[in-house]
Amino acid sequence: MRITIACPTGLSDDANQLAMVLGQGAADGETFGALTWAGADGATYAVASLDTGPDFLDRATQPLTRPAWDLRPYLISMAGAARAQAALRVWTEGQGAQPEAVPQATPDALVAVVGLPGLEAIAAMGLRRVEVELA
Amino acid sequence: MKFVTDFTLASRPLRVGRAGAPPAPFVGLQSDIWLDPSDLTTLFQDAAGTTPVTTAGQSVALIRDKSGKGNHGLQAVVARRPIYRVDEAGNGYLEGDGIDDNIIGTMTVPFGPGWTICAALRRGANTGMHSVLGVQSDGNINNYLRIRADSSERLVLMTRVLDADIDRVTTTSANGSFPGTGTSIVSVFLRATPGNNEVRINGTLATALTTPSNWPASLALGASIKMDVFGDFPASANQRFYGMMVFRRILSAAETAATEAYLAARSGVTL
Repeated sequence: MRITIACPTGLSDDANQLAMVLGQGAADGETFGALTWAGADGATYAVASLDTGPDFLDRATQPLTRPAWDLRPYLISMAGAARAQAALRVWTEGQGAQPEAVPQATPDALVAVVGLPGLEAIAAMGLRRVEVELA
Repeated sequence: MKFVTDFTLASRPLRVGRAGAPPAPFVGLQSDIWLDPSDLTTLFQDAAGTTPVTTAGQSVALIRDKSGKGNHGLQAVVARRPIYRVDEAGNGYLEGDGIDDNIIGTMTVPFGPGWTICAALRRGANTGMHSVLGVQSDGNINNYLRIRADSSERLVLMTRVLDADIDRVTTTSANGSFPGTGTSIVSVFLRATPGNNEVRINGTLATALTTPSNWPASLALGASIKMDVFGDFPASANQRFYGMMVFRRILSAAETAATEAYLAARSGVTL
């Protein structure tokens, strides 16, 4: 199951806390990095896309627990992860009798598209690659 | 089908095998990075290398270097891991999503007399400018060489040295779209001394880029050099990665041909 998440600038810190909670370690704190995608309004986004198991969405939407690897002094801000979780807006392909349109990426939410190929999901969210000279 | 060459190097035979054959492609040709997604014993789902990849569709966090140098390919971030797949001909490869996937092999400096990078790749849908392969210093990310394909599928070589202005050369590859519509064998020669860097595609010279005056000293500013299998994140390539061999020297013509033949056999390419 492919999940693709568009993260606006203002949510990237919190989103990376959530990525560590749902991921495997501290390195997942770099999940949302460079803002290389842009919406029609010019707002920029970091995008992560991955194949996940069926339990991923359950874990992402249920009460969060600190992973066992995060020992004192804690690395993860669970408050930040909770804020990111609250901002999560999930769209799943084929859900419902009359599926809603894919939500557009927006500066106030983490939009997650489930079931579409990554690049297709990005296009459906209204994002295009920012053609920049990447360092 | 078995593919065997009779190249001779240092008085020893060079043997080239396709997927499933014994792992050593040629006796006496020592590489510095050798990544082979066809060999499941080298693929792991976790960065620590404790959970092996066992079937197609699993993500790959670690691909062990078969050169014996310990220059493994790694991706610690879960969301950036490519997927192991097997093509119609039974050849294993890593699939990058063209968004954030990448595998990074790390080599220690010094740079040496030059590098030869040979890789087997198959480009996916054209999504605009993206990286195909990349090399950068770990001490300064602004020192790099990028091998990119632009939205017109032209080969783009980019170098940036000591934070100076980008020195870019754009050229159309000699044998059509880059890196080709099918699977392609891409060989890159990076010379440490003044001269030309060269790119070959499927055994044919595609383009050359004059070596910047302070190349490669700038690239070696850090303790090691990173080799990006899918190019530089976040312009990661939407492509299949069938394998790569990196040498800390410029290969001879015979060595290059043997390496390209090996990768071609691994990826189903007819040279």
